[in-house]
Amino acid sequence: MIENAVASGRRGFVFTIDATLALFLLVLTLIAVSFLSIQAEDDPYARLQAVRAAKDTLAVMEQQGILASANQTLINGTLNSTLPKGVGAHMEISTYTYDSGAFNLVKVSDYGLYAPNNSSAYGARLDFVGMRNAVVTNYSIARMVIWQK
Amino acid sequence: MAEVNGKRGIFFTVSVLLLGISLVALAVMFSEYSAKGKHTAVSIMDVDRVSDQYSNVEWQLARIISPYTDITVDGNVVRINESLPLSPQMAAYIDRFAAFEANYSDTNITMNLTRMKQGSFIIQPNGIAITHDSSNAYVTPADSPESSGAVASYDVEVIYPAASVNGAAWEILSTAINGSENAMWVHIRVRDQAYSFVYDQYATLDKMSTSKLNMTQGGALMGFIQFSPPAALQVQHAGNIGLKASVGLDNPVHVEANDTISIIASANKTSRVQIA
Repeated sequence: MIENAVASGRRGFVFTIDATLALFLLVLTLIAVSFLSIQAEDDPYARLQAVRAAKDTLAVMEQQGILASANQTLINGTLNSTLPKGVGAHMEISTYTYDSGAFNLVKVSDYGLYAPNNSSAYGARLDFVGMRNAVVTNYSIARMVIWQK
Repeated sequence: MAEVNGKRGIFFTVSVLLLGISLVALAVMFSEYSAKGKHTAVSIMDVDRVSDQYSNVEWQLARIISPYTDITVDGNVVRINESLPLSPQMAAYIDRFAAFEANYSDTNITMNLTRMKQGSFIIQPNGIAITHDSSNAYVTPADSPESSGAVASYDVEVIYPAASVNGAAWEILSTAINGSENAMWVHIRVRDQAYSFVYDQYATLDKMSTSKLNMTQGGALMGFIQFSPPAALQVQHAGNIGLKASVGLDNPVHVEANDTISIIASANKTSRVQIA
């Protein structure tokens, strides 16, 4: 009777250790899964692709003279038609003129949408000169932020 | 019996422990692999960012100089369209753009554009120099099969202000037989803006001899177009002219300014400025 109780006690102890190990493995698996899913959210390749899309859009708009036009409707329309569907974009253009040996900020214009607070947003930048009749009239910096809607 | 059960229990426990350790090792390996991939992506992004900025600066410089000296490439033909003498305004705009980038760029960017400001470029890979001074434009190949040997043709149009040229005549003309080793096909057109005078001639010239066409107004020399060995072109002008010239070569080419742009950031890039 006593021997049986001792054997049951040992068996219970082994089961407890076994259950603890199983629980340990379960917790480990859960931590690994959550770690990998957090990493997937900040996928650097997705970021690379998004930044590339923003840079290409800026380059297209600059080479077509759309950025220099500062036309709100034209720029918003081009952002919508050039960027992939489901991507939101905001663009800010800071314009400087050169006067008396210094650059002066004369205008900051905003285009597109505003990024929601909880979204992962990616940025790109392009500097360009404004020209009219062979004269450089201004120097501008276009900054674009894009995000998945 | 109990002893056998105990041994089996120990065996199970050790097996489960080994399985656990294996899983942990695997998780560590995956994590390291993932970190490596992330690091690679970040490096690509840095290189991409610097490379983009470099290309954009090159593009903006080409835009700034294009109203003064517009150089384009179409396969193996280099086209030059410019107003001579080159305006000093071009150098001023180049300097201002360099200063703007130095002040407002988010990377450390340095531009050494001394030669570009003087209108000095190189047709590559042939190493043919395009240069300017206050009263001349030059296209000067090196004396080698890869440089002067690759020059196949010139097409030169000189445009004078209205009624400021009324004559053009060869002072020296050295022709070559079509298809011969030193033959160079040439088309020359001299006119004024109002088309009241137009001189148009095609010729096959000898690359290794001198040919010189003088342009005059009422007998007074207004400038000349000279081809001299080895396959070099000089356009001399007394006053303001428009020059449209193309150089045909045996191979695809690009045009660089003999200057450099350096970007120092998380990835670095220093290279010659390619303008066409």
